[in-house]
Amino acid sequence: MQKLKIFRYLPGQDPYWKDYEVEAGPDDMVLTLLNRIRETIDSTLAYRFSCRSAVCGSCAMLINGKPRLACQTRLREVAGEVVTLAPLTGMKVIKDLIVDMEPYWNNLKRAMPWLEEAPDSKDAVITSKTTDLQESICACILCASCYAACPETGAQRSYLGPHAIMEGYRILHDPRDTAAKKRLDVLAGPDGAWHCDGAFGCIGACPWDVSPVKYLAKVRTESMAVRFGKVKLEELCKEGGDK
Amino acid sequence: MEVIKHDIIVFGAGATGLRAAVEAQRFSNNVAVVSKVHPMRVQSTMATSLNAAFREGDNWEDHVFDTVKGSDYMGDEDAITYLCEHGKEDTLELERFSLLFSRDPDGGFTKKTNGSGGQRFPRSIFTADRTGHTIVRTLYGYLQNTGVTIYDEWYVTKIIVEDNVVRGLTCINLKNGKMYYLHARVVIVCTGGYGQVYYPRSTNALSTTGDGMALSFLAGTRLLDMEFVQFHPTSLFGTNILMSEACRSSGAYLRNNAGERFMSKYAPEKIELATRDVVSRGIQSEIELGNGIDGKEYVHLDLRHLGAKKILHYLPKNRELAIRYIGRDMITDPIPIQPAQHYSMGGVEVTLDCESRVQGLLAAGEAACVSVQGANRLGGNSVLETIVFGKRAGARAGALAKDMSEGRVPLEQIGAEEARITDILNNSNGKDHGLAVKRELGRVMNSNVGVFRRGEDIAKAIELVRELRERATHVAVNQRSSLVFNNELVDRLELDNMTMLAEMIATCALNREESRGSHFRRDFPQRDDEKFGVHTTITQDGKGGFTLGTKPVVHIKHMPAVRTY
Repeated sequence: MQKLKIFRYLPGQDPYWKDYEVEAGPDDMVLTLLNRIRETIDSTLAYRFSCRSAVCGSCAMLINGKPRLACQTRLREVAGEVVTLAPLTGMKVIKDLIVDMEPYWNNLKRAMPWLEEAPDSKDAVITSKTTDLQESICACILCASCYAACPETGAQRSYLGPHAIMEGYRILHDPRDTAAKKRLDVLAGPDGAWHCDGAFGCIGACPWDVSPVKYLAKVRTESMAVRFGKVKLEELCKEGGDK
Repeated sequence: MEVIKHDIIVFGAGATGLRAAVEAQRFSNNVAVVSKVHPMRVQSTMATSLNAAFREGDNWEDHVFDTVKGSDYMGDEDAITYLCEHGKEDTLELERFSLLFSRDPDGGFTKKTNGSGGQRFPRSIFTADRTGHTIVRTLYGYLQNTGVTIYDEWYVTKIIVEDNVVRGLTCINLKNGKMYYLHARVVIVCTGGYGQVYYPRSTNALSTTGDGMALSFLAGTRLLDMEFVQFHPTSLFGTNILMSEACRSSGAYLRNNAGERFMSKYAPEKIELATRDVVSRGIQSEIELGNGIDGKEYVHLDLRHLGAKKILHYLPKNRELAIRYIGRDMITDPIPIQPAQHYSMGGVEVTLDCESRVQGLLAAGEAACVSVQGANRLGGNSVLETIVFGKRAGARAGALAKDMSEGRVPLEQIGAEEARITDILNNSNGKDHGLAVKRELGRVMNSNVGVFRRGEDIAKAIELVRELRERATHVAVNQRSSLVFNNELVDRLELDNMTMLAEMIATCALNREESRGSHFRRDFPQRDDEKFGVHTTITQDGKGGFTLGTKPVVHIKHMPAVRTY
């Protein structure tokens, strides 16, 4: 048996902690326990879930205070007498463990996650240098763990967040793209990578070890190199970037 | 209930739905996508690769033959021809949406494996092993630069139809708990399969509950080939998380408790590289013969002979998943696996233009049956179908929306639907938790309508599923104050869909007294082309039951022949 302390909130009412005791083995995933509670004890508990294999990014939550995916966190990795489950920080709670992701997705949109192609871009040579960068960044499953771990994000703040800057950086270095200036202005602009104050919470929080802070640093150095005339923006972007 | 008007509404936000939306917005500036999960959370994100005949030395006609034979001559060759002929162009077109397929240092597309099960040529194209995620991510990103509205985390409760013309969808916005009616000229159903009917022994996401398929049926469409349920041979024992087909196409062996590569008994030529139906039967037979490891319900997927370098290079995500979910490293340990439900070959009957029998109601992808997958799907062909027919459905919807006038808003039906939901909310006071009923449904289906089937078992399943359909109508809805993420209510509505689909699957399975593709009847172990070389159709009989019928299979060049691997 495992004791769990779970954050409960219903719109219009006061939030509270509820204690559960559920049958459990040390190798059970936290998501399995949540499902077990819903199946056998209390079907009103609300949380997000979908793929149960750490690919869809639905079930990020605070497990004993740290952002983790419930579907790939084994009980024995976090077990104490009581395991606490709470919604991700940095976003408004809608109900129980479900937060309002709207600002997170809006920030992704602000980073322009689309390609602006030149008419002759079909001639652009794409090699593994570009696709390796894309693959490294697309290992990010957009679960918002890094966003919650970052002290600079938040409902009242304008910072784009690590996820959005990474996605923007991916397309900045696509040799087919023609909007490099516009992109760099956003990524290294007032709501961009300079917000990062080096807390490095994103490194520990990422379930796939993508290390968002690495790309924030690249945006900073590349934007400075361009500003001081050390490199031409167009050439920088044609390069395909380093993963 | 608030009414919002659109020209075209895409129901479902997976690869098919997003591709359809991208195409539809070229024709109309009033397109919306509605989905019960955010687009980045869909089943499609789990896909690892897709197929197309794009390499030198390959050609799409060969892909047609492999798909026809793979389908056990149940796929329609006109649809398969369209799929394979457009495969290369539509696949490479994805790169216009910022996605890039993996390249080598010289710029050529990376080649990873041998041909996967049942394919004579390596046709897989991918973005590392995150192809599904990257397709969804880049289509979603592309849509951010268009006028398409995305209603994410909206649960659709009904497809509203008047005089056999689609009108729109009634929905619950789970984020604010309000109901809305989305009015449209054209609706495209792209909600994928029904994998959770086999809970928990399914590789599918927990959200894959066949809602669109069930609601389309209730809206008056005809469903096709519901008896054909794909069981993937290699899911992790205990969690049923997928070990992808890349394992077998990279050269994995399957071994029983004696260490034998038993597949040589079932597929002497292709051995482990036979199609999924054949390999799943091989594994299940060994388990039933008592040849499972330690007499349990699994065999070993053995990759150790490939060596660390090959495994790390070709199968990093599979290795990682096995480590994370069962604590086994495929470099040093054999991996315990068993077959699990994976894909729904049947679905809403549609024309090559993705149109159903209800005017203005289209369907594509796994939710539809066009039919390219027939009685058994080849690995990698599902993502191809999402892209090729998602695009075609979007284009067709665009053309139809231009021709069709805006229909009237059916206020009576909307009001009735709102009353129905309120009634469920206020009066569902049973003791059963929805998830417990889902588990019971999965138990019934896995034990009686699984890899191997028998008439008497299927008949028993039909009885049990009917009881569950009734039980589903009074599961506990304890939280009545709000519809905001009311998952008790959602479980209840999903159960209505799942139990109805389960009864259809079993009914069609009982009717097909032969063995073909994924459908294997122990009491009728041979394929019977004369009697059953036809699709099964299923419609409402007007009294709450079903009417079965048949429809010819389209053969053009490849006539039914003996199928061995």
